[in-house]
Amino acid sequence: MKYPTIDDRTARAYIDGRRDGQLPSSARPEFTLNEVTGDEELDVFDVVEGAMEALDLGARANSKTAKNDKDAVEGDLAVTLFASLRVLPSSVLTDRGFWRFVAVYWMFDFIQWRDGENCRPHSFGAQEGLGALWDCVPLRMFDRALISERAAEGLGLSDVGWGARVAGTDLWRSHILRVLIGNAPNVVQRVLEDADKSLLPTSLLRKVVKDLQRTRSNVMFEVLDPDDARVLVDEHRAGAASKKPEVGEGG
Amino acid sequence: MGDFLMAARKEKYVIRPFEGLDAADSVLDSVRLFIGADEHEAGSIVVDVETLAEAEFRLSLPSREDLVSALAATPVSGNDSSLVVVASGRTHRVSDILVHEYPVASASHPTSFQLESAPDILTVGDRGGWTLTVAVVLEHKLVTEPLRPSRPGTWLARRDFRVVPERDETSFSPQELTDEVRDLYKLPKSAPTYVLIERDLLLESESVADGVTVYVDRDILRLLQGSQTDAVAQQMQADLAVETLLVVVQNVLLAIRDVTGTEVSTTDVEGYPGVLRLFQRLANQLGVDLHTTLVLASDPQKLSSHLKAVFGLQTLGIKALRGASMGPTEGSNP
Repeated sequence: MKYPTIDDRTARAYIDGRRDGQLPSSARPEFTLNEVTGDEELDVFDVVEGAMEALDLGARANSKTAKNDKDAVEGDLAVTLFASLRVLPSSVLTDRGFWRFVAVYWMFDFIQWRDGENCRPHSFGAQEGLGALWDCVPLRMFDRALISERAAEGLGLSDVGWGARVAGTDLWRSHILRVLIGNAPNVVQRVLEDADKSLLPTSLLRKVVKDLQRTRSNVMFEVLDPDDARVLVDEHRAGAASKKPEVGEGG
Repeated sequence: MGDFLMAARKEKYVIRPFEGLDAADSVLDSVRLFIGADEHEAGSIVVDVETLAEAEFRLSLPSREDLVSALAATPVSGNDSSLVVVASGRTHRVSDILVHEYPVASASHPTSFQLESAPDILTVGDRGGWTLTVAVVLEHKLVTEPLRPSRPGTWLARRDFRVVPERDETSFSPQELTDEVRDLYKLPKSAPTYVLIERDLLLESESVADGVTVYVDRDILRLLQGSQTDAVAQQMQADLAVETLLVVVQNVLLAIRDVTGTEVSTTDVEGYPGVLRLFQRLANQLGVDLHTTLVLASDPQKLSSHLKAVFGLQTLGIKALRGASMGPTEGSNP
């Protein structure tokens, strides 16, 4: 089975070319086809193209509500993207070259809109030297919906995309996807529930996650059931709320 | 400089706030991961990309009898604890619970089993690497007693196998320091290098390298890459390695202090697998133990001097200077 990938150098050259105007918006980067053992009938390019049609990125980014809440748009689209791309085998979905292809070939303008016109190459999955891929926009959208689905399954919820739609750029990027708490969907679900009820304003959220990270040294969050995850987050929220504000911190 | 973060192959953990769990820890000494016919202890296991994609992975676990017997010597019984095996991918934020035997006292797990790698599994088989954690875990809340685990999910003993692709060893390789990067981080136009640290990632990622990007001026980098055996180039690379390590170590210590609020101890370091591997590697290079490494790390000037010695900067400096003094003579016009 063949699937498209883009290497780091090509991705960065394309990003630079588009940004400095040397490449027109109609230009597409070159991609290469990698080969892995798998379903020969599966056309990965078509699957991605179909996903992009379903997302209709241009229309969503230009909608009236989008300007005020880009993360809500990202969360909503994450569910659609995940539903489309999850049919691909893990050999494709764990290849960073594939995610660069999705980001640079298909989502350049959306990513520029979402993360800013001068956003770091990480948003496109570029910068090969970095081990972390979590901030590549299509991958982080995929993971956001994946975490949401796993959390919903744990609770028997019918709307598997609920969690992904809880908006908050810092919430998702800084406190879930960037750190390993993201590997524990039951804990994430409880944090999202509290965020959705406005129980976790930014300063408190920061403290809660910091304390959770400390606790994680001794506790395997991945094995906690939804009830234990609820207790864990409640305790940490109460503990963080009772702490005195740090120097220089408002409130 | 690509290998100075290469992981140690074996490590153990100490549970800080608890006592009497040694037996539970010892029983996991027998856990092994087999990659094809090769047997591996816990720690980092570097494999080539083909092996990662195609090999069969098999795990050997202690028997129920051994686990129950070991737990009898701890303050937590086999009825309160479980045996878990969790696989976590590196590319995606996802973990799969492969084994969850509760209670250990009536566990029926096989002592040897094949890890499934299927097209819809994002953990085992992740091309970016994956981690397998085998742990004995407290399953439910216990009445709080001093030095005894009480919170559900607390691990009494654990072993981590980090399976990483070979190419990851070069993940610390420098990036081009361009004018865009200088603008982005507000650096002087003539800055030759920059070590970017993302402090959260230093502690939270599987590898400290995930939180570090080393930038080198584009022209210098190209010259370095084109003349790797040149004495000046070798000295520059060693200098850069020392500078990077110093910056990384100081930021790791600051990040841990930010969490603990106190001076960093060996037990603090053991709480972060990626950091532990960094300091173990450093300790091996310096030829001292972990505690001494931390003492040195708290004195950047002294650590710098030790690292320069380890990286052979005295010899490299002399070679470079001799080359520089001979260079014009050899190459000059009559």
